[in-house]
Amino acid sequence: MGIDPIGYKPWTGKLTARHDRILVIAKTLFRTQLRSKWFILLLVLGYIGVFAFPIIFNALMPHTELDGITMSTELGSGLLFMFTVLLASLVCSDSISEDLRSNSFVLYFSRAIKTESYLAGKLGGIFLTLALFCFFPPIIMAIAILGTQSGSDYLPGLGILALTVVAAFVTTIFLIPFSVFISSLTKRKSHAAIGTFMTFMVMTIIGGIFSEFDANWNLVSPGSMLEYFYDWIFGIGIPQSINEGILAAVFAAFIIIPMALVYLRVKQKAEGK
Amino acid sequence: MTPSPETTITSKNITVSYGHITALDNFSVNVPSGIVGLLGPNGAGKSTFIKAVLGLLVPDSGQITIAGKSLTTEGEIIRDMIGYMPEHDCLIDTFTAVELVSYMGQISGMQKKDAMPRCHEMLDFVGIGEERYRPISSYSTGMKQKVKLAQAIVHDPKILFLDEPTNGMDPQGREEMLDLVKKIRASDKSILVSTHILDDLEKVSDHAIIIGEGRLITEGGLEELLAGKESLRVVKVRGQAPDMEKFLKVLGDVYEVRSITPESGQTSIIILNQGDGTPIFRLSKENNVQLRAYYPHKASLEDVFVGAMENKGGDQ
Ligand SMILES: Nc1ncnc2c1ncn2[C@@H]1O[C@H](COP(=O)(O)OP(=O)(O)OP(=O)(O)O)[C@@H](O)[C@H]1O
Ligand SMILES: [Mg+2]
Repeated sequence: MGIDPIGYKPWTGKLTARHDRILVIAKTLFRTQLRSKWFILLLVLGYIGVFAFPIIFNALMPHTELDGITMSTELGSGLLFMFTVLLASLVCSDSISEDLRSNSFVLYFSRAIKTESYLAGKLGGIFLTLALFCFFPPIIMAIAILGTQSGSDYLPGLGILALTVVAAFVTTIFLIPFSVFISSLTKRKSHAAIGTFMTFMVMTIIGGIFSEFDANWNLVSPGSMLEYFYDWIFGIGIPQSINEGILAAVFAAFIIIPMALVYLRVKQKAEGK
Repeated sequence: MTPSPETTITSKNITVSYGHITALDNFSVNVPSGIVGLLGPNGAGKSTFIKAVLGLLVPDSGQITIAGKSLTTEGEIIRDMIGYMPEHDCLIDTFTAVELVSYMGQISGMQKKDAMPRCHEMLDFVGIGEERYRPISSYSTGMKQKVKLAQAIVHDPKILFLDEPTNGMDPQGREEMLDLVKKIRASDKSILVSTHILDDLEKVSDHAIIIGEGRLITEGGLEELLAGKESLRVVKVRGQAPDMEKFLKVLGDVYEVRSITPESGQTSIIILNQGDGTPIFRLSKENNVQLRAYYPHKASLEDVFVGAMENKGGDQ
């Protein structure tokens, strides 16, 4: 096989703005995930198992308006959380570990891409992907219930819809930092996926066991933490036995600490040594 | 292809250490434009220098300027005008070559509508055919090298860093790769090529920076660096042991003998001879040894290296 007798041609186009390149990273991750059989399979199973029936059921059941208790209950369903964990483990697992395995950090960081831009791109892509399950369907559910209400006052329902958007947003981002952190620890995406899933399960089990002694132990369990969050946001209130200060602290730590560790890890990779 | 005197990269007193290993030791050099070879044995610090210039690692001390811009303050602007072909595997191998190269074009700042046609153009240029639609994990080493080159030039950078571009390629593949480098140069680029193969460098460039143990050994035109080595000749003779002994003695009286290496059934001698070869033929005939070969000695990196070290010692 000889080389084509093709000469090198220069390119004289205009470069895009730097933040556009973050979007490229996000879109590429999103598109790559959509090609994964496992992701599509889980997504479809999730739609059918978690959303299809409740949406139809809640819409058909006579109701005067969309209320917070319904949304909080639906969002807090164990099955929804289970699928969220599965999808987060799957989607986040190859975000960083694949770049570790193939040594491709250097392809990004020899270009005008900073650690922050790289992470923003990756996290953005993961958000887009998980949003297909955690963000849009709950909102669709709220809209379906709102649209089929028998009452004539839509205002309270619209308020709940707005809160649903916030709750769905938090559901989508809640597991990302920790899952990406696990992905940044290993070169094998299967290890990252299983590691993430197992960690969430173990935390749930520990939370379950120790909450017998003190309800605050529930805060160790990501699922329970989300349930408290939904109750709080929809104005139902959290149990007396739970300390709100601890809830807020654990919630913040669960997002901020892993994010900081990921940042340091990628920064270390970006700077060679 | 004489490099113009204008400087692309200036490195002033760069020191880089990994723990207690000093990979670059107070390294100062001006890299002219054109194709410049960064020549040195394994572990000399070639890759470390390229990474420092790219800002992929932060030197312990020293300053680097590229095209008149400071790496520390104008790093992003600089990165938009450079391309880098790393030494080791770095390709996202679950992607196809088309996906990878167009992705890299886009994160270098090309719009998708520009990156796609350009990606195909570059894959045509480096000689990746229909395989471009297969995942990179199925490629041979040579093909991966070509994709690595394609991703480095997709955004048409002004300055190109190629770290051992012929790594792992067979002679024909190496030839092709070097041809590509020459073609890229034709469109007015500055290219820094690191290699430990002098042959490769001679084919594409005539300016070399020689580096050893993290220090600048010497730099300049390849011709000057090879000068002195030009008049070395290889003499291969065969004969009976006593005849051979006599021959070697008279040869040593007339010429400066650099080395004597016994080979299977013959002896290979390297001598310094500025004149023609007639006396050698005569001497061999007189001493009853059979002259099997007589040709100019091809300098190796090692020769240039040793020569440069000697010269350096002489200068001081
Ligand atoms: N990540 C690292 N950690 C520790 N030491 C390193 C690291 N990278 C390079 N070194 C050391 O720094 C020195 C220079 O290495 P460098 O890779 O720059 O050499 P090189 O000239 O590119 O060699 P080669 O021809 O083998 O690619 C070597 O002694 C090497 O062992
Ligand atoms: Mg190297």
